[in-house]
Amino acid sequence: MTSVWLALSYLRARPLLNGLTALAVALGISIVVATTTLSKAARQSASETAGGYQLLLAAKGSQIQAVLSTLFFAEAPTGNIPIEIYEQVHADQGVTLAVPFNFGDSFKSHLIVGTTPDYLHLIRRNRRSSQQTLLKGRWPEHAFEASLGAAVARATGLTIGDTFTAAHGFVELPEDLSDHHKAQPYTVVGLLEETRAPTDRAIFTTLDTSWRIHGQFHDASSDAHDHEGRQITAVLIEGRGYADVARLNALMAQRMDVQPIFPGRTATQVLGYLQRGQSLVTSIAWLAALIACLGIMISLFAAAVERRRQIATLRAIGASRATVLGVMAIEGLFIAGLGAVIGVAFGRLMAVAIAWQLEQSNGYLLTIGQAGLAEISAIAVAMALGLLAGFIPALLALREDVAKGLAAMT
Amino acid sequence: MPDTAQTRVLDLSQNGGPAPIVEMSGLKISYRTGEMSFTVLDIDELALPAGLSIGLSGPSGCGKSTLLNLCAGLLRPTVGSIRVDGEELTGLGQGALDRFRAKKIGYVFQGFNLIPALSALGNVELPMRLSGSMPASLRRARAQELLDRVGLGTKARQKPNQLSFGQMQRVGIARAIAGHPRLLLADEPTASLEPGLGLSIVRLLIAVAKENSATLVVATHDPAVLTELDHTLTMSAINRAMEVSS
Repeated sequence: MTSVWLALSYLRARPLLNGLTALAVALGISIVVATTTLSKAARQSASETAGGYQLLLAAKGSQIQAVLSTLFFAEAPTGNIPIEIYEQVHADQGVTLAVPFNFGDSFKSHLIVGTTPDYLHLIRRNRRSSQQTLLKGRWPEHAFEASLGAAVARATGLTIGDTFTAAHGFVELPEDLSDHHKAQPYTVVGLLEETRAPTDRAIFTTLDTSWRIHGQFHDASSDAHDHEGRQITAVLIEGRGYADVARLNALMAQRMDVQPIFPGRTATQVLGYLQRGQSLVTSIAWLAALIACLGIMISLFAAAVERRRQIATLRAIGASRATVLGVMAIEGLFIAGLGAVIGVAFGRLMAVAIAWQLEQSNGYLLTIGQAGLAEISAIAVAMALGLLAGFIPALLALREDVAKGLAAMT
Repeated sequence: MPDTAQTRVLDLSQNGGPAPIVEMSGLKISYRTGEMSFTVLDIDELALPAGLSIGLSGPSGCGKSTLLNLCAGLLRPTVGSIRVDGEELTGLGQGALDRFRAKKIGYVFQGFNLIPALSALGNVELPMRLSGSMPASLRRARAQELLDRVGLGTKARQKPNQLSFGQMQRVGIARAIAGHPRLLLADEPTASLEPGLGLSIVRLLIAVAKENSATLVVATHDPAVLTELDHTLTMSAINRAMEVSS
């Protein structure tokens, strides 16, 4: 206890220096915590979004682009595929759910997704929501009806009964350059509850709306099943079992106009790339934290030199080596611990702020989870380094002869 | 040339006086620098009586501080034996020596050597904390009582840098006596003080040592200080190494 009392007294005697040293540790740890927290949130978001689906059919091209486009509404699609593919898998006995997607238009940079009510079933099941929740109003039944994701409703202020006109493509152009489909405004008929998933930042309409806009549905009175020549962007499939999914995968792989993709596998690949980047940033951040702990050691080395005579005095009046060792080790431990705790708090604040900024600027939704083992580990590692940073100068200081230390001028 | 082989026995506790608190026998401290070997202290026999105040006098470098450090167990003799309060120090390990110092030794330094991070009260409490011999409330009460005794009761919360030299040495005296040491060692306690102030500090040191039944050994080259003490030992009388070097 005497070591703790002395260490705290020494810490209080140099508040500015110790505070700045702790701040350096805090900065390093905050970057470690921010990167790991954001990376964890991104992994969780990706696995929640991509993990629920079994097979994606999209136009040939980059699989990552197809997954980002269809499941995350975050990229331009790879192209279009014939509607017959959807009809074929929809009619397949081994398919329990087939959800078509048709992209092409947007409103204030929010993607308008043509699909069927099966999409609602899909997200309800993935989120384990009941029929009563998730949708206020109703799902679009007729062309130019729209249900808005929660983030879209929040950003645009639109509500049920309001109308809006879409722009062609994914980017909102200035008024004089835009290709707004002004003649065919959309009417909002439903508002989706917040899902903390890409669904929040999209606008959903019927599959045939886009065909009507882009002239693939010339006769409004014709039969809805008369789809010859029409195209969609992708189809998400859930099979009865793995055998059916594997069969469909093999079947679609033979076609020239479509590619089957396992979204979970692609998401894992993307996360692998993210992991590499995150590992690099985390390594650099740990290096910064390590340098900060070296700062503690330098500070305590300086203290050991400055306290040369004090250490000798302590020994002369009965302090054991362990007591002197304990004083400096506790100082290192305290500075690093304080820095680490501040760093964890600041790092999580940074992660929340970055997630908020991403949501505001790009609509990417990242849910920052509760602090856990990673944060506790960061604090523990920093404290261990701090302990070591105090231990080494103390050991060196104790090597000096007490009588010589008493005679020293410092 | 003096006879360096002659054995010198100096026993102040002879003739029915108090029992010795320090006993040295055949004691030498030597250092080796390259091929050369230097002996800084060479004492045949020395016994210092308990309960008195004893001055060690001599010029700088004559071994006064070395002798005090030996008594405190801070230095180990190259050869010979040293017993303090009945304990043979040469046989003690590092941990036992630490405990011995915490329990039996009080040390007053020329440069005061207060811990700047602690208040006056904290400095006085420190030896009691280190010896772990007293509950916190008693420890604090004794520290305050000792500060009152040295006239610094109102300065208990002050840090050393807020005190004058004289006040710092008073805190040093209170700290040295706080753990009820059997042996109080003072190394040039007045050298950093003005002459008049130095004398009053030595008188306080002697009084505090007597009140606490501690034996006081003061290393000093100040004749005025020596006149205040019960006995004076000149280093040239006990240290044969001085004869060799001269």
